[in-house]
Amino acid sequence: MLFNTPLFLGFFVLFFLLYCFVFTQPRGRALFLVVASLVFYAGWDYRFVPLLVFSGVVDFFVAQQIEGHTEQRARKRWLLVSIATNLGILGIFKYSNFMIDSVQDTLSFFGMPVSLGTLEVVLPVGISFYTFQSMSYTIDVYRGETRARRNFVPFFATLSFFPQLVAGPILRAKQILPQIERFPQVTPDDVKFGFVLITMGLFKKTIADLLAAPAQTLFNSDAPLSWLETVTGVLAFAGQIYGDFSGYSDIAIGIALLLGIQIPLNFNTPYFALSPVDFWKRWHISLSSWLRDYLYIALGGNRNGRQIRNVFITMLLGGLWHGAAWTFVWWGAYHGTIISLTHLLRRTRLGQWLAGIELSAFRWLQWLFTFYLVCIGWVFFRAESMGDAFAILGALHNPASTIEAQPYAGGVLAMVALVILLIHCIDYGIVHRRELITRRYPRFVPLLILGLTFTILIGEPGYEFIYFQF
Amino acid sequence: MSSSTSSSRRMAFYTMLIAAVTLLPAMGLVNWLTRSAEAGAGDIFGIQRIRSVTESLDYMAATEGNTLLFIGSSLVKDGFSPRIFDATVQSVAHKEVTSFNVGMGNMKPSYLKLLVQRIADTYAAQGRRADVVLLEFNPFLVTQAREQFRPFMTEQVQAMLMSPQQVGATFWQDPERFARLVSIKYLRHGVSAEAITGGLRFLVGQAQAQAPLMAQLTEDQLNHLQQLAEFRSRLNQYIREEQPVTGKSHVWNPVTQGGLIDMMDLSPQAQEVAAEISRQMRHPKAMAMDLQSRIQCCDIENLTVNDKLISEFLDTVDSARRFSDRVEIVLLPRNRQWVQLSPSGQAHLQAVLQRLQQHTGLTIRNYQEHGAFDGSDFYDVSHLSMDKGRPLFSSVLARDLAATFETLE
Repeated sequence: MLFNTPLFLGFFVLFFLLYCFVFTQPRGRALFLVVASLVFYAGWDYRFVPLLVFSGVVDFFVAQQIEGHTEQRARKRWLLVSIATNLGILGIFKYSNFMIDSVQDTLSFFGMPVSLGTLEVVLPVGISFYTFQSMSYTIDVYRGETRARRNFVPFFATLSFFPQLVAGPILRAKQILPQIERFPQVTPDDVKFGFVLITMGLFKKTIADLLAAPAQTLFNSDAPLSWLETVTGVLAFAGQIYGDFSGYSDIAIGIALLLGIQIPLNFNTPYFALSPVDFWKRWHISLSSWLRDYLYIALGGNRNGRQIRNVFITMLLGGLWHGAAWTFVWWGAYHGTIISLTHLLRRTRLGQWLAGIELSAFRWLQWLFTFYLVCIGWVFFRAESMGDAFAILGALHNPASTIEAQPYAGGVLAMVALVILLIHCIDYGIVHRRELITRRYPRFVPLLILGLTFTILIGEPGYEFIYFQF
Repeated sequence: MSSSTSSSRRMAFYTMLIAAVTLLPAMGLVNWLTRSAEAGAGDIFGIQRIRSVTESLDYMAATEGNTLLFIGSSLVKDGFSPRIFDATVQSVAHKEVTSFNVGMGNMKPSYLKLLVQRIADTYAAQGRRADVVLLEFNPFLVTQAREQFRPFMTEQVQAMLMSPQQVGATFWQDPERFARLVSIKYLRHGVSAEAITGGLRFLVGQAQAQAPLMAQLTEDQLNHLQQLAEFRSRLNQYIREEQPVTGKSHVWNPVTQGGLIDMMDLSPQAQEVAAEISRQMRHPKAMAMDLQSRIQCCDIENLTVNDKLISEFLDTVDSARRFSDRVEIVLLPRNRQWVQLSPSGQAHLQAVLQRLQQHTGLTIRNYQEHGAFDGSDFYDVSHLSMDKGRPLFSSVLARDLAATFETLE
């Protein structure tokens, strides 16, 4: 059940009416939320509902055990049970075939071809999101940052909360559990801003789907394309993934707001970043902060002079989190490298001198270079194989290519660039003008109507969100 | 009622109000835009013809006397004149017949099946039967290539061809699809989002593909294109003035019995322009380009057949038998001057016709190689022309079917 389909609209209207008029008390609401979320999830694939419940039951029980023990070793043992369970689920459903293929490829590379077969497993939708979310709960309890809950229903309602169940944002129990336990009163500003987020999210998703065509032209092409079309394809994918994922996040956050649940924004104009470090503070914020809090810091953070190593490991695993393929590992390693280089540069005199430059022209250069670095990363992310990725990168850096561009290729490039800028302008408004938008909501209504009209008119309901595959 | 409950309900009403203020105008705008686009932009979405046909089914079923339905693709739409057919039957067999042209563009068997099911339901609802049903079998619409062609049109064509009951039945199989079909059929005037975006991509792709060809055109050829555009504009003007009722020729109309406007409907000046358009369209460069596009979209020379489409055609025959005792299969003339079947194409066609014969036992009237037709009877590589091919085919078909009508009461 995709957010951008009439079926979801029907589902949500029915849910909302029951939520507001029938299940008005917190206990009943939490239970109703669980039932609705399971129906929503079953709409994708009912076979994986038990897996979601299993993950929740284990962590609910483990958290109580952690809190119930005072001895550190016992607490740690229980935490390991939670981590092993969640990573085990991920390993089996997401990475088993990747590992088998990698072993086969390695052995065959060393002249020992073997056939280990493949497992008949289907990737349950949203598994990477809910396992991370569930783990964060037990880790928080272990760290004493939140208390273990005794009532399963609100806990499970947060884990299975349908607006963000299948593609995030990844929530922390300490952020959302207190809200689900008491269901704070919805305010008119929540409703207004929620609608802005939903409408603009749908609009961004529609734009992203339009950008899919030039991106596919490049990434699905068997023959090399001209330099202009290669640039267009890479740029289009940068816009597509941003519009698609940030659009989804906005809709999820907007729906939650209509229910009175506050979820922090997941994107903050990421392509306006001035360095790779800055980019990761603005892109998929819920994941990057999760990785920072639960992996990077667990590895030791920037203590003991191990910052570079820890950054690299964190980004490498962050890349692998996205998908079971070497292209994602490379993408993670690539970001680990450019973030590490940024940190190393900052420690040098040159870096300090550069940081002191106030010229706006220099800021523009910084921005352009960062955007260029991020786009290089997207090639690894989107390419079907490492060979394809390097071929595209070769074409991208060969403006003297003799391959002739299709007619109107320049126009398509200009359109793609304009559209990416438009998505950013929308995001800028959402992030920095919330107060203005809610205060002067009627002035924004015509814009919302136009955005929604555009979405309904040309939004193709069949297009899945890219992040569902993760 | 507690204060939190009443407050929750107040906010629910407030939310619904905010939603209505945004959603309803947006839906209204979409409705208005699609209606305007569909009404004003000719038949580029292919929907006007489909809608007008489906809206006229009751009329066809209610028609008294001997009736014939010729159901098929744009080859039938452009190539069959019901009025010429009826007049010829009258003169040859001395029988009053009312025939209807139920041809529509893009009618591959998966669409034809839906249409014929719907016609059968309409006749059943009225307790009527058609005396003769001719089902066109178009060989290049059952190819693998054609099955892949313009997939973005599928949902909207199906939505418009399906009856409300058929749409309703999809709810239990696929609620997502049901919601899409309802939206296309009732909110968007048959214009789906896929058709808009897919159509735009298709047009951009066409423009990109044709740009180098256009660049190679000589001044003479460019002048020819301009002349052709002017002639078309003049003919449209004549039609609007002379035939205000049937102004939009492709819209199904009881006056023309579903056929397009014929030469006999036009003044001598308009007839001259129509004949000139056909002649100009047969320019060798234009024909070569058209052939190329038919090879790409439909594999028109090799006819590599898609089995699923053949099965769907056989299902269509079964549906046609529900409302008529006399069903026949017809293949319209092929433009042999331009379309030469390869040896494998001939073998494929032969095999398919044998299969149709075996499975249906029906009469197959194959005009593909009919000697009466030559290149001058077509306005492109596949469609019969208004000035020559259509009247000729309609009368040839009528003479061949005259014996059938003589046996009817």
